[in-house]
This record gives sequence, C-alpha cells and structure tokens, in this order.
Amino acid sequence: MNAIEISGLRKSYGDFVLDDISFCVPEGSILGLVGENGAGKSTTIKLIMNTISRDAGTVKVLGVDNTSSAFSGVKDDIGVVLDEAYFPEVLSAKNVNSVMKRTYRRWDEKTFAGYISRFRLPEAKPFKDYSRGMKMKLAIAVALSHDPKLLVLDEATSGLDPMIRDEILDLFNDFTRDPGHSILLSSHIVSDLEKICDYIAFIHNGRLALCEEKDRLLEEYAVVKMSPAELEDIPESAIIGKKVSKYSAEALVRRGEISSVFHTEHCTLEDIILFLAREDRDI
Amino acid sequence: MTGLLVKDCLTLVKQMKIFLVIIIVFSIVPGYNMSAFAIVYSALLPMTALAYDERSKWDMLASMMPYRPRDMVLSKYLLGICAVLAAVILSCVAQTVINAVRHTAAEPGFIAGSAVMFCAGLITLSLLLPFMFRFGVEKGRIALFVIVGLAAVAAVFLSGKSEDAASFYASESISLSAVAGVIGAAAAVILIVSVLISVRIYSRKEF
Repeated sequence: MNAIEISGLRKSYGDFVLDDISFCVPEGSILGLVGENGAGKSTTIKLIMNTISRDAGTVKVLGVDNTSSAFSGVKDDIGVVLDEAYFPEVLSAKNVNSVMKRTYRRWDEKTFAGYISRFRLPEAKPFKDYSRGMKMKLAIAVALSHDPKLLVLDEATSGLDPMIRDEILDLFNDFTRDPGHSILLSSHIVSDLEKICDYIAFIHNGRLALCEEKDRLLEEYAVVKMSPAELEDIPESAIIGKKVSKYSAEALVRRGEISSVFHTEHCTLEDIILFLAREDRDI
Repeated sequence: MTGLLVKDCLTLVKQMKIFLVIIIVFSIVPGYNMSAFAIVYSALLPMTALAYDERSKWDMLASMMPYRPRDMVLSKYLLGICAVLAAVILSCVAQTVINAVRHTAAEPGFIAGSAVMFCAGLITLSLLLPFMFRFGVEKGRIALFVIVGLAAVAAVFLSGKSEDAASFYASESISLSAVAGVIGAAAAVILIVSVLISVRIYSRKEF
C-alpha cells in the first residue's frame, strides 16, 4: 500500500504552474521532495493536505481521497511540520499540550512530555521567546505525539544548525522503523535527503523532473571528467547533464550506457540534482 | 473544536488581561450604558482572537490538523456567544446584588433589557464575523467601526427607552417574554445566517 498516491496534479497561479505531478510514497518509506526555492514543493504539500484547490489530478493519503469528507479524520494520522511552527506566540509548550490533547484523538501527553524533555524545551516559556531551533523542535514534538502513521514535513530542517538537524533526522529514521510509518520530507538541503531518504522526487520549475529510488539513482548515474573533445565520444543519449568550459568538461551520465574505457566517478545526490537543474531537461 | 476554544481562551487571557478586567468592571457598574459597553466589548473578543491567529499564521497550521472549516468558524462564534453571555450574566448578578444591598426593587424591564442586550451582542457578533473572515481583521475593521457605532447608539437609545418601554408593555398588556422571544428569534436567525455565510467564506479560503 502507498501512504501517498498523487496522479496528474496541476495547480496554476497564473505566473507559476505546477503541472503533471505524479508520484507515490510507499508505506514504510521516506520520500524526499527536493527542488530549488519556488519550484513547487510547498504547493505540492498543500495540495496533498488539500488546503488549496487543484486544477486537475487526484491525491490519496493513507488510502483516502483527500477531497472526501473522510479526509478530515485521516488528518489524525498525519503529523505535519511546516517551514515555521505557527503556534500562537504567547502559548508555552504546556499550553500547546492543553490545546493538542483536545485536537488529536490519540494525543499522548507522556510522549509529548518525553520529547519536550529530550529536546530540552522550557515548558513555561512563551513560544515567541523560543529560538528557531526550539520552535521547530516543538513543532516536531507535536507532530510525533499523536501516534501518526505519516509525517509530512515541509522544510522542517531548514534554518537549523547541523547538530540539531542530525538529531532530528535520527528521530525521523527511528519513526520509519515501524513498517506502517512513512515520511514525505521536502527540503532543499540535499545532503539531509541523501542521508535518510529511500526515494527522491525532484521538482524543477513546477514539473516533476525525477522520481526514483535513491540507491538506484546513485548506482545508475556517474560523473565523468574529461576534455571537451573527449566528451564528444560519449553518446548524447547517455548524458544527463554537462558542464563544459574551454579546458575541461564534466558530465553526469548513465553508467550503463557508456563504454568502460571512460573513468567514472561516484556521484552524489547533489550532483544529480545540480546537473538536472542546469540542463533543465527531464530524464 | 474544544482545542480551538482552549487556544483562544489561553491567548486572550495572556494578552488581554486589562481588556478582560474592563469588561468585568463595566458589567458590574450599575446602569445599562456601562453594561452595553461591556457586552459590545465581549462581542469583539472573537475579532481579537482572529487578529492573534492572523499574526501567528495559526490558520495555516490548523488547516493541516483534523479541523474542518466549520470548526474554525464555530469556535469563534462560540467564543463570542460565551463572552457576551458571561457579560450579561455578570451584569445581572451585579445588579441583583446591588439591589439587595440597597434594599431596592429591580428596575422595571430589567430582565427584558438584559435579554435585549444579549441579543444586541449576538447581532453585533453576527454582523462582524463574516467581514472578518472575508477580509481579515485589518480590512474588516471598517465594518467594525460602522457596526460598533450603530450598536452603541442603539444600546444607548434602548437603555434610555427601557422604562418607557416597560410602562408601554404594561399599559398595552404586551407580554415582556413575548417581546424578548421575538428579539431572541431575530437574533438567532441572524446568527444562523451569519454562521452559514462565514463557513462558506472560510471553506473557500486557501492557506
């Protein structure tokens, strides 16, 4: 079963169009949604949560069409963290607990208290006096404290220092140890996605440029470095993207489609994304 | 929806302590004029809660939670109704206590006047909230100024006329409870229509 199934999703804002987005998040997996700022990641997440209207397409979340009346109940099973925490600024963590236990049916006060203690968040301090890291930790604590089956995280780790990010990524990894748990994680920090994701979806200029299993991507693609003249010996169909200067050339290629005489280097997810963005073409 | 009400109450109590004290003081000061102000202020509390929601972009987060548009809207109406009701009850209790201490009888039409003020609070609330949901608190303030001005004038007018009205009702043998019932029914209809309009407006919002 898929935790999220998106098919032919389209949303037009006039000057920006998110078009023909189709991908799935298999149950028990983490899918990383990557793309530059303004590529359409947050719009996709809003469409998944049905907080904005769509022009076309269908979305199923945990097996339920997100436009149906049953979706409101499904939200009990979804933990959401947005790019900001958006809690009323005068509320403390203790107050947030009082609100959330009356919001989510399976709210677990002990779990929440555990996260508050683990994240070293002051219980009585107003939210407005929290640092950005503390605010995001509170949002993550809320998302994890109502026994969710799916986490939808929109830039949840952006703006956090590497140590906090690492701690939070570990938490997400722990969450998916339960095979019934899944995560959709949107970020433009590709290294975070490479660290924990099973699948990668790359949205570029409102289009889905790539959706693939991460390990397969890293196995299938490679980087070659050579002179511009040598680059012409590589079949055009094998080249995903290239950077050519007067004296050197670098290309992202399909490993299986080029001769073994070429020396290939292991590529990172960031290489793949950057080459794809540079070439502005689908694969 | 109780989560939304708890959130609003916690926010208002923390941010609006002086405002709440003013409502309580105005409620217990003898005379309808002060009570009317307290009731109008109470009817404005949902707008204040909406302003804080807008500032923290709470609606964006709440739209991801298991709340339906009607929960978001009804919570604000319930907050307003409870606040107006509390101000009216406080006012009635205070008047009763003052009368008992002074060994004086209650003013003629006291109950009817209180019921009318409660209805006026509901109508103020019902007229304001759709504008606030449609235009936001910042732009919705124009509607606020117009409606609060009219409500204040109406409240002063009604309080000035209460004794005359009471004697008119007595002379014409018109049942006070029937008059209160008619006004209450009108307020209920306006409230229901207002809620339906607000839910429709809120359902079309995108976050």
